[in-house]
Amino acid sequence: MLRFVVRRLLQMILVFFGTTFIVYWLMFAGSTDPIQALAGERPISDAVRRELTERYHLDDPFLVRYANYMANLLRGDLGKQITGREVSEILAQAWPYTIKLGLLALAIVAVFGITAGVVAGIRRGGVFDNVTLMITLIVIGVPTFVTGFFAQYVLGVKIKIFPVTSTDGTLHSLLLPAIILGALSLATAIRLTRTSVAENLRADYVRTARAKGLAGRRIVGVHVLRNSLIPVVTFLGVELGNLMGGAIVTETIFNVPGVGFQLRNAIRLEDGPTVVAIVSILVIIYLLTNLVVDVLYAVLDPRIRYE
Amino acid sequence: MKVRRLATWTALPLTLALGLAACGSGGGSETGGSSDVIVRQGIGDPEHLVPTNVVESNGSDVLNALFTPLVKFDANGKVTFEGAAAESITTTDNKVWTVKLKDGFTFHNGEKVTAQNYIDAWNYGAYGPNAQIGTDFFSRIEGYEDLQATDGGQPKAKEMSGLKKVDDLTFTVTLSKPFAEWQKVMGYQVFLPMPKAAFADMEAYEKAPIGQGPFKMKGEWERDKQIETERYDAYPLAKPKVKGVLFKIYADYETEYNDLLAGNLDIMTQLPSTRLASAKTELGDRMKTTPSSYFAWLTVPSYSAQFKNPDLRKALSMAIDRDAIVEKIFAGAYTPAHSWVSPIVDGARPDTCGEACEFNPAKAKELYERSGGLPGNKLAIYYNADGGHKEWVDAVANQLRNNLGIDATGQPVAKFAELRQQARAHTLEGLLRGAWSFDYPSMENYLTPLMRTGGSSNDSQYSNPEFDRLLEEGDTAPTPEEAIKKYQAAEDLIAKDLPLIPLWFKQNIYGHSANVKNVELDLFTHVDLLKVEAA
Repeated sequence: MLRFVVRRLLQMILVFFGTTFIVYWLMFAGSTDPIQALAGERPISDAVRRELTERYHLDDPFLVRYANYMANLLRGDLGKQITGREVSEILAQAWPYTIKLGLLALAIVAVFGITAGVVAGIRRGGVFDNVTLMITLIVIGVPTFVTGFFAQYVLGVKIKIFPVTSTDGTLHSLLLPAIILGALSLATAIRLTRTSVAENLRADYVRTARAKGLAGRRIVGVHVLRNSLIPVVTFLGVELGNLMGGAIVTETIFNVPGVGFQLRNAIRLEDGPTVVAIVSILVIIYLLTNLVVDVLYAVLDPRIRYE
Repeated sequence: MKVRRLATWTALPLTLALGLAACGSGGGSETGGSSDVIVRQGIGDPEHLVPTNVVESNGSDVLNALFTPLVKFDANGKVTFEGAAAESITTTDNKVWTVKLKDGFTFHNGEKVTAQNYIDAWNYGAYGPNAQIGTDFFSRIEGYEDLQATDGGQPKAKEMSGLKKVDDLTFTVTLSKPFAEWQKVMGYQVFLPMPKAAFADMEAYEKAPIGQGPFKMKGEWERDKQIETERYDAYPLAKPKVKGVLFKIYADYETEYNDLLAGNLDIMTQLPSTRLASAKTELGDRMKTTPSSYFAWLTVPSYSAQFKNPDLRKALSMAIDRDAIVEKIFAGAYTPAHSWVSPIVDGARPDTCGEACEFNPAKAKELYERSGGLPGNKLAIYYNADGGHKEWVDAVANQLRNNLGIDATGQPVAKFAELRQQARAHTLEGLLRGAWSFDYPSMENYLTPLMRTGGSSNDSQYSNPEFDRLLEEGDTAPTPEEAIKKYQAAEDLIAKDLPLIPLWFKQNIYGHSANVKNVELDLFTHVDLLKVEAA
């Protein structure tokens, strides 16, 4: 087990360098003129252009810039935005929002997704099953910016049960964005759990358990659920990374100054350092959650062993 | 936010108990005396707050609360010293300007505002290595060149020779050559003063800028969240009628607008174009319109042989039905342009373009045929895809196709910065979308940058010696009135050559909540914060 974890951690280093390289290269290749992006539609004087180009090393070749960036990164210096703002300061402000939002969304997905999935799985073909099937289909089909603005307008502006924006970062204000953010994953979680439960209910061990007179509640609650959760846990683990990194649209709609919000701004301003820093941290989160998921398998299913 | 919601819940039963009709809007904050209200204005996160580094509207809105400029402008675009920081600005030759400050102004940290504060701030802004975005505003001042780095080296000087302190409240500005409109230029926020504390630590200063205006910072700039200001009690001029201005920072116009509807925001200076239709019913008479300085056009490349023939240019212009596009696509947010200078500028005339800007498809077709047309009858209209321009560009292309029988198409370029790069290179063989908002309300600020030989945004590379000469005469004219005459004469020349095909001027559409009244925008689309009061 320990060897497994260590080996995975070592692999992560490689993945980390690979992804930062690719992202840095993409930002480099895709950027046209970050200084103009700074000035909006206004012309910018040559003197300022020269000074900023020099200050932020904008005319160095790609490999030099990447090497400098990584050298600074390893020293713990994430660099500066072209507006002079420290990237580390931006991240320190953004992450608490996104972690709160991501965990809240994940909790909603886990609780409601698994519960509804189990119920739908047990009563397969029933009214509940069909209704959830339909609702999840709709949720999967409608893009987030539509559900987001719709929910904001109806629940925030008209009925006023939720605040319109979540800039203050309280749990109450983050609830609606978390629901919107989690809705897509929720739909998948329900369907995954339902299929898995329905399949396991027909397994031999369930018939055996029934034959020896075990209570139905115990069969479902202990045996079936534990076996059915393996694909769901995998999904939820990967989804945590998605929920944190994929909140660009939701965070913008609800004005949450989190990571997705900053990522959008940085892309708009062609701000390489910020994008690379955010994506690198997201990569680490993905890698770690995947590791946790792999370890969790052994807990859920003792037959799985790590060499 | 929490407090306000609580206030709503307690205020509601109270109003009901008093037998008043419940108005329904969620502002419990106006229950106290009217001057206790805090106005909440929506902005985007500013890039900078150091005056010499601010050229975008978000930072500019905040500076508008914290500072008072040297000169102000009345509704007709004329200079006024009422409510301004300067007592008078005088000159005899348009080269040496004497600025006399009003007595009694103090910075929010108590420091008295003197001529030295202006001189220090301007030198800081002009000094090349400080890389201040607004630096080119100082380029007319004598000695500006000495503050710019020559290749690799340090600049020769740290202070412009053209700035001289006379006494504590008076200083002179010497320009490198006469410029009649200079006092208008000094109304721009780049020319605001900074206290001594700023130069000691500019980074700290930017977090909580200290100004000499009607409002002072309360706490620091909370990035991406808000900037809170409160009334400055030692302000020497007419005091604001509200307790403070809270700038709430939004990343998205739709979100900001929804917050305005929900009653969490009081002033939004630009409504999202997608919501204009519904805003009429949702806001009613709280949706307001003022003209702005924004002017949009299509650049005809003077550097390209294809477009040399004046008849061809005229044909392209006359084949565009501006009224139809303004009405159908912009829902009235723009007005058709028949000149090159926004109507809010002193000296602007509504129709200097004449026949060339009138929609006349038959005449256009005839002119096009006579001009010999374009090679292959193909025409590209270049625009940036990140600015919401696709719809109108396609409409213009359609009209050109139908009215002239040419193969006109919109050519999107992914980003604005990319389009600017191509425009600066002067290689595009086609029409190019362009737009301009003034820096100071002068005809000169449209004509010089856009069409004078070597102008900073002269994408067309238009060069007309006669036009240049008239502008030069205007710049050196003894009085502003005579300057305007020369500028008007220069503008009259353009209609013949049409280096820019005028399209429309923007109307500024803004809205406010029921909590406030007397919300007015000035020429720079800044809210007049001295007039706003609780409803």
